[in-house]
Amino acid sequence: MFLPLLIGGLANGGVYGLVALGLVWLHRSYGVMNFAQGEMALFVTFLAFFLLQLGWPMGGAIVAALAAAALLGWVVERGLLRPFAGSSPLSLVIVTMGLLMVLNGLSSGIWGTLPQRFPPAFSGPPVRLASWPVQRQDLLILGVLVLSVLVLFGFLFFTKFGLASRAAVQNPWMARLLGVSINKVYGASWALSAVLATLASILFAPKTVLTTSMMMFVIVKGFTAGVLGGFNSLPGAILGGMFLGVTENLVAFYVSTQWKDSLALGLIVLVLLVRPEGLLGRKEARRV
Amino acid sequence: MLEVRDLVVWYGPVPALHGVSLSVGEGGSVALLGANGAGKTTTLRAISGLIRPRSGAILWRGKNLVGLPPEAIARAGIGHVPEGRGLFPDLTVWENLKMGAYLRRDFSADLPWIFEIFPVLKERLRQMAHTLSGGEAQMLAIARALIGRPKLLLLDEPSLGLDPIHTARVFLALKEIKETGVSLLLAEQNAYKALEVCAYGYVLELGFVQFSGPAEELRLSEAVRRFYLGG
Repeated sequence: MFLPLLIGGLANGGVYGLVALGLVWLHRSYGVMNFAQGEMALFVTFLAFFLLQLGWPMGGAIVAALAAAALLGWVVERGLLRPFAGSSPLSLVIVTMGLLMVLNGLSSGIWGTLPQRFPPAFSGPPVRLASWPVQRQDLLILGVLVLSVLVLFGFLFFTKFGLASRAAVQNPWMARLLGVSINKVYGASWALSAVLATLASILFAPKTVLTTSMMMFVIVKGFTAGVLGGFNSLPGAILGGMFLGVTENLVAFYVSTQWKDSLALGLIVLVLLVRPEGLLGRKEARRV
Repeated sequence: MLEVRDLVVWYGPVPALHGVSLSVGEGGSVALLGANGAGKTTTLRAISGLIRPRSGAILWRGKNLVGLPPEAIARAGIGHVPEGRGLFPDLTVWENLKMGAYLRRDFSADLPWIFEIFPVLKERLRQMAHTLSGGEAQMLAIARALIGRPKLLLLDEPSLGLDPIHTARVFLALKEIKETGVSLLLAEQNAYKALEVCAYGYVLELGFVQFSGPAEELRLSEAVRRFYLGG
């Protein structure tokens, strides 16, 4: 029974990891914890669902949703966060909390609160892996995760703009002195993190039901994954997600499913108490 | 080429510059001297757009730079090596250099002479910038600014925290850079060293320009010597 638990856990963990990647990246590059991340993704996932109902093919709906997510991320930074540039980080966090409520209200208002079934990209019976059944959606999630990580890595390490983004994270003023348009970097960071969260949301939706509360727990778990990784390391975010997903599945199976969701919250407390730099993170010393 | 007129800068309720005027000509080299807190760093930061002056003008080839963001001023051809060097600590030396050339398409032609001035960097390309020694870090900061091919290079205390050997090397590099035709505006506490490189100097005190003149004159001036050059 261990292998299906492991793969299912890794797949859930992949979803948490994708959410965590966006959260950690925004936290590092923009200095804000985006509480609206999940709702932004959910809103766009509803949009994809709407397009599917109109008869769009799955691929088209997903591409349109990801484009919409990038646009939404960019618009949120431009329209909502940038006017507060220079305010305290807490003010920015409160703006994102406001956005969370507005988007959640909009989703409920437009698409209703009844649970919907989001069709999987590949339907069919579970695949057999060494005689154990494995869900197709889980394999898809793992595949998309690997692909996203490769694309993100390629962007950050092999493009000029990616290099500028990494530089801007470390010293935004210096990057500007060298000619980097910081607003472009910020806009791209928001677009990127919204796209990652939307990927997570669209991949996760077929495993559960699409409701306006779907992302609530996913975002908490994405946050946990980030904390496990130290909230400053991108590989840490992915590994934190994987660790959480697998542990959660094991706890659900061997202990009780009731503990599954509390585990994430318990882990946050535990990590912050015992190892605040996370599993992979480095200790951060701040010069004052 | 650069003309600063009556620059007034306040940090919140605290005045830092009370109407500083100075100019740097094409290919010129100007030292900005003065003690800690005299306003040297503030002047440089205002020129490159890191702080907004309360009043005054910063004319660059006839165009006022006041109000432009730092990236636009960089694009106009002004490079800035800030106080504390401003390296990206978790990027490699090579990546830091690449960032210096962010506004350029191809900078490979400039690498040979950059490495000629700063040979130590060539051996360190794959190292993270935070592993460099103070002297190496300063070389990298200057090299990174140079590779962007600025017309004017602002340097803020390049000798700060360096031992005499590295200080000498930095000033030697500055002389070589001057010969390539780049204009320099050099803020330094080490006035004698700065006046060896620069042709002209301004002495700031508490946000005012107290003296200015050709380097030779400033070095010989009794008043300057007594107050700012330490003997």
